[in-house]
Amino acid sequence: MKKINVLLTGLLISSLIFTGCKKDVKTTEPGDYENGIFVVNETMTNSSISYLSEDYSAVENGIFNKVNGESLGDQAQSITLNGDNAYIMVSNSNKIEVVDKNTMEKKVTIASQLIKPRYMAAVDGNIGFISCWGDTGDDNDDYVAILNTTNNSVISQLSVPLGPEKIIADDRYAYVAHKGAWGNNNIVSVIDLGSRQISNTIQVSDKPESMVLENHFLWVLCTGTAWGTETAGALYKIDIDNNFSIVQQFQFAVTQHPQNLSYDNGKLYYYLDNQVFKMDSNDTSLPSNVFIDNVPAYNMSAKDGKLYVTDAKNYTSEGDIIIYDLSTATEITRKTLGIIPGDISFNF
Amino acid sequence: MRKIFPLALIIINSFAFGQKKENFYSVLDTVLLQSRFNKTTLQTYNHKVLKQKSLKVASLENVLHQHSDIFIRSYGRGMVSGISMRGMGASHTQVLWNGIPINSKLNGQTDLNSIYTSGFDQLTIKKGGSSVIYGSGASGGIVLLTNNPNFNQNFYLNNHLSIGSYKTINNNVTMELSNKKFYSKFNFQANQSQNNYPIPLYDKTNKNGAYSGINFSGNFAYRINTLNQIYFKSQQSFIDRNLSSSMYGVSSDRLTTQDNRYLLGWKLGKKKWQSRTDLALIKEKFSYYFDNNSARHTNNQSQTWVLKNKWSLLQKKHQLYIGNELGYTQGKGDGIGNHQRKSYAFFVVWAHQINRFTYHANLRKEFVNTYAPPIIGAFETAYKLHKNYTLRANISTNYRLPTFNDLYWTMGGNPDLKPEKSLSYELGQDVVFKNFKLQLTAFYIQSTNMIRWTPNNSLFWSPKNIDRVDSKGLELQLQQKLIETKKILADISVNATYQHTIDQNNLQVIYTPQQLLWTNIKFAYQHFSLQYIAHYTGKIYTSTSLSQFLDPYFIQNIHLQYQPNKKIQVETVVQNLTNTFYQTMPDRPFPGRNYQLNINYKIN
Repeated sequence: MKKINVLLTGLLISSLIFTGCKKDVKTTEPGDYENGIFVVNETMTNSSISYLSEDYSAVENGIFNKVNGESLGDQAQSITLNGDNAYIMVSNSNKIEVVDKNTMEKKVTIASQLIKPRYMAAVDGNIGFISCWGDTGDDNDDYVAILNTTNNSVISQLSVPLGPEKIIADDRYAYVAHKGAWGNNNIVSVIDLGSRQISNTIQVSDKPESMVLENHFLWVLCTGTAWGTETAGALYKIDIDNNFSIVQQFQFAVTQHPQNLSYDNGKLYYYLDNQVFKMDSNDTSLPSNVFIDNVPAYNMSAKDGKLYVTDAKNYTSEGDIIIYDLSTATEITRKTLGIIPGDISFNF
Repeated sequence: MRKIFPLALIIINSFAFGQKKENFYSVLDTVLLQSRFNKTTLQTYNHKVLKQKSLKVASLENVLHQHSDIFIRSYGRGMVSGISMRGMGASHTQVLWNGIPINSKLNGQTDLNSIYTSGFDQLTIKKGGSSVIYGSGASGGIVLLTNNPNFNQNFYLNNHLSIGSYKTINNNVTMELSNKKFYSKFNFQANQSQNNYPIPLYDKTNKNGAYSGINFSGNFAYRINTLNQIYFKSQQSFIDRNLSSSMYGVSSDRLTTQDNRYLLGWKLGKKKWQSRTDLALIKEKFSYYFDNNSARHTNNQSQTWVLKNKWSLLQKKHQLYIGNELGYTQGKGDGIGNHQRKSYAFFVVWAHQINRFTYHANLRKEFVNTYAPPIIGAFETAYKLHKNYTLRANISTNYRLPTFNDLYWTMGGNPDLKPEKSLSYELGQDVVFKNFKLQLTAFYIQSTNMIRWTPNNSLFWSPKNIDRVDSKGLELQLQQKLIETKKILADISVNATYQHTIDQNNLQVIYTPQQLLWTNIKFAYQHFSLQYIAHYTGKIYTSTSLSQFLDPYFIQNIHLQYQPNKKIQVETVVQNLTNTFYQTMPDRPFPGRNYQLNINYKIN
């Protein structure tokens, strides 16, 4: 998701560059990460993985480094669980680390045919679709890498338009949101899982940033462009069974740039201007009331009645994960993770 | 189109040091402290001067590292690097080429590895925030790179060849020819390195680090008559670097920097008064390639015209300087669009010596088309309590204009930024004996409106005037001559700094060490000399929570020189003797033990 920290690459030698060398308070046994939550800390160098136990009692940071005795790499972006494994996309190291999801022990590093891997969707238990930026100076070399997760090798590359980012899948299609990398794009590519080709392209608003699937509907949240000539954010409800037609477009104001669409138990949640909003998936208009106020969400994800929010703070010091109870809209607890905590995966 | 963030964005106390006159052990770069006020400048501040001999090493980073305790933040050997003086950032030290500020108009900094120094006659390092004569943007200090035409009726041709580890070769040729009327000096330097060094303690090699560069400088002066002299100075350089991968990253990117600097000047006047009028053109161009196998790249460049006049009245006990400067800068590129800045500045400096007391009163006012910068000033004093003891006290203000990147970068540039402001105090004492010199300076810099790029609701990064930085510290400079006979010279120099630089949360500013130590121990016997240079750098915090840091390091270098006669000099250098792992930026380590052979040959 947010790759804006990449921007920092040298922007500010003096004040704003991230790093590793973690000093952790150990609260669990290394190698015992069943039933918990993984969070990717996206630092420019020495990225890391944090673990939070399902009951929030235990936090352990830097678990990949700790278990494997080596640095994870530069700017890890996301973590996807598939079978017994977790796949960690390490964007600036052009690799995926494949680890045992319960122990974090490294199984293999996939380093070929991956240039700036971002997100992965696992399908059928043995195929992974991975959005890749390629050369960031080239608008025309972006691709989706198709990975055989049985032998962990890239089978082929499917060329796609600029800036593939989030990728999710159901049993027929994989959906790729083209947020536009460091630029701008406004489409969702639909990849047919059978032919492994793009079967449809859905036009949406600028910067489709997050997606959820609910029954036969694909929900796409577009951020809009926030700098320069602003364009409005928008939420799309798309009917998968009806030729990907747009059932409804929920329009935000031009200055509103929502992010982090999430779904749990019939409800949609999104983040806008330090606030979380909640709507029913049958609603026909955007909610007018704030669901939770003062939420510093860098990323968020709803699951089983809880909302997990990462707070990247100033991006140069340890961030937090904050857990809210969705039935009461109140904070349950918060824990300190690594620097720039972003992508969240649930191992329970 | 996709917006690249080029690395191109990322893209240095009042003792006077003088150069020892040449003698048979002059193989040493003997930098001595000057014990009295210089005749032409009534000095009240602290500076260090390096002459031509010290400048033959490849880049400004190499020179500063060899001769001072100044901290340099670098992305690895030969890579993009920035100076940090008195705890301030790279954009708070102004580098001047023959009096013209050359910090990038785009990112505000001078990349020390993009400046080749062999063409210069003199390098002056001045710490502290008083920069009225030179311009703004120097709360940390100033580095002056100067060409000084002379009419000594001199001819020489000098070749300096340096061969080192990692297939590094650096050669520079200098020719100087002058008579009573005419002066010319040319310097050509070429430099390249595979730079594929093994990283100490790790089973890793520096990757994608190869670099090369060429530099040409041509300088002329013509004395029309006793009153009038015209001069032309120029420097052209082109540096082509792949940008080293971090230890765990994979990169294939490349940065080329092209600099063209020209200055045409007219000096009118004699010893008592002088008028200097300079017209300068400074061009910079950064090209960033994501993939060094591809021609695809982004460009960002600027060109600056400066027309300035400095009028000086030079009396024995008092001096007056009045300056007028016109500036025009155009910046354009894939990241910043096309923008102009126009400026006019006026300054006046009054220096006066009353018996044992000397003071400088400085004022500068600049008008910029897009800002209203504050008037800046400095009041510098020195009181010679005893022939061996001088007290100094300075106060100064400074500001730094936002750079073109800060203002216009796509995305995030903020045209509403205000200039950064600083207020500096300095208190120093100098103890000077024939063979012993000690200088101790305390400084305090308060900076406000500091520009920092922050995430804007996690949508995009944008600069804001939000930071406040307080930097205070103590600087020690010490030199002790141990032995000086006709055949033997031995001396020791030490620079040490303790600085405490904190942000608005009272936490140490990241990427800024608190302790710095440099020492140079020299021993010369007839044609041979041995130098031992060591650096200690304290812990460098890398997270604002101070939970993460780079380890302190201690680096030692040995220089062994042999100079059978005045024409030839051979030097072997062992750097990082103990093969220590060290880095100034995370996962950007420097090489372990490495070697260099320097051969200097002079024809005259």
